[in-house]
Amino acid sequence: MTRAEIIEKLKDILLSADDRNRETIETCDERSNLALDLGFTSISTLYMVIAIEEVFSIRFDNVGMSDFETLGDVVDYIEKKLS
Amino acid sequence: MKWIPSECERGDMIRVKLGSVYHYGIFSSEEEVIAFGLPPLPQYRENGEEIRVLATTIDVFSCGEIVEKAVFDRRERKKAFPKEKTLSLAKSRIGEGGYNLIHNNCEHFVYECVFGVSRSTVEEEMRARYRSRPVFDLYLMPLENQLPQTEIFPEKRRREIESCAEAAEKERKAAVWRLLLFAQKQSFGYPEEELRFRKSFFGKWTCNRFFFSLALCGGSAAALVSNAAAGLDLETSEHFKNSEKAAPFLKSYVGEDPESALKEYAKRQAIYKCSGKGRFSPRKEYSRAQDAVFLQLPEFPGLTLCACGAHVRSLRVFLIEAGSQKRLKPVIL
Repeated sequence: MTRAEIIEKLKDILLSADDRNRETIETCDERSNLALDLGFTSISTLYMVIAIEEVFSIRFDNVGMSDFETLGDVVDYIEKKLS
Repeated sequence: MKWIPSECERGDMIRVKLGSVYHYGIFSSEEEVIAFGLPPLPQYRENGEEIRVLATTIDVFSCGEIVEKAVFDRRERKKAFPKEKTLSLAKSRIGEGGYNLIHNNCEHFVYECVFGVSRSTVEEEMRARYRSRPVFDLYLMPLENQLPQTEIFPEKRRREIESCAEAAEKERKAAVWRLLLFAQKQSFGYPEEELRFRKSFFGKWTCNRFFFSLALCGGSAAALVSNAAAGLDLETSEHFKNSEKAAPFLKSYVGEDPESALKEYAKRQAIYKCSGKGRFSPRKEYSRAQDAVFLQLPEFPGLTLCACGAHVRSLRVFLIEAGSQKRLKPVIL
């Protein structure tokens, strides 16, 4: 799976978490900061991580709320898990 | 289980709300609360040490917030260990590591100490929330570009397809059903054995786990899958002009250009399929028009596509080519 495909799936996850933020999510990229640009809280991080497990059929190792700063960090993690 | 702010006793399951998350522990005394890690606050996470089961004071545990204790219902009381056993289990695990935010967190720890079962209601709620998210996925496939010839199920549908007298029709029906099975796998991933298909009195196939609508037109097949009622119609002007079903509609639809007649017909079909009731009547005005959208896809020129359903705002469109899928960006008219 390419990074672009991973990002597409991540955007779907983010949209399912917060549909009101549609425009921001649709235009976000790897540099987007989860907290500052996308308004992530600890609960939305938890939701995202669980949804990633469901979508990519991977199991997260121990991750903390502060392990992912940008969307690119999340993509790196998924890419590593899928390889 | 209810959570109430109250005086705590030895062996109580307690929690405190810190921001948007809860921190859980087992109460022993004001001086001793057993928890999997310190509260999830930045000041406790900066040293980078591994999170372990530890004993701390109620002040450190609560961070000055209100402590709630779990009050069990009758069934839970039967399942819970005696409080002294809970406490000794919690104490015996002091120093244990292996923390995992999702699979082995402070809530899993207290559930294990109280009920002997590792669970996290937050994890369960989040998973359930994700699984019940609005799904409205449309899969399109040119018929010359079919999916692998996998076995069709249920058997009743397979026999129905096999009984088609015309070979081309049989192939088209098999192709769109395979597309449906592929679509559900991609969008929901339900195991085959969980799926129960049945055919209604009016000939509409339904499934116990999800809603779907199928369409075949010209050289294209489409399957729409959703977790709410959904309907779909594909039309080309050629198909529309020659359709026996559309003939009465065309006769009655006067004074408008052919394109708007085609769109109105497609919309009525989609809404009718979404309702899943009775037989299609092209002259009937169907309600729920607000849930119907028209799509234009550059990859399928000349194809008028109308989709209807409560989750239409969550629409995603995929093109199936050589067994793989590509996301399309439709123009919603």
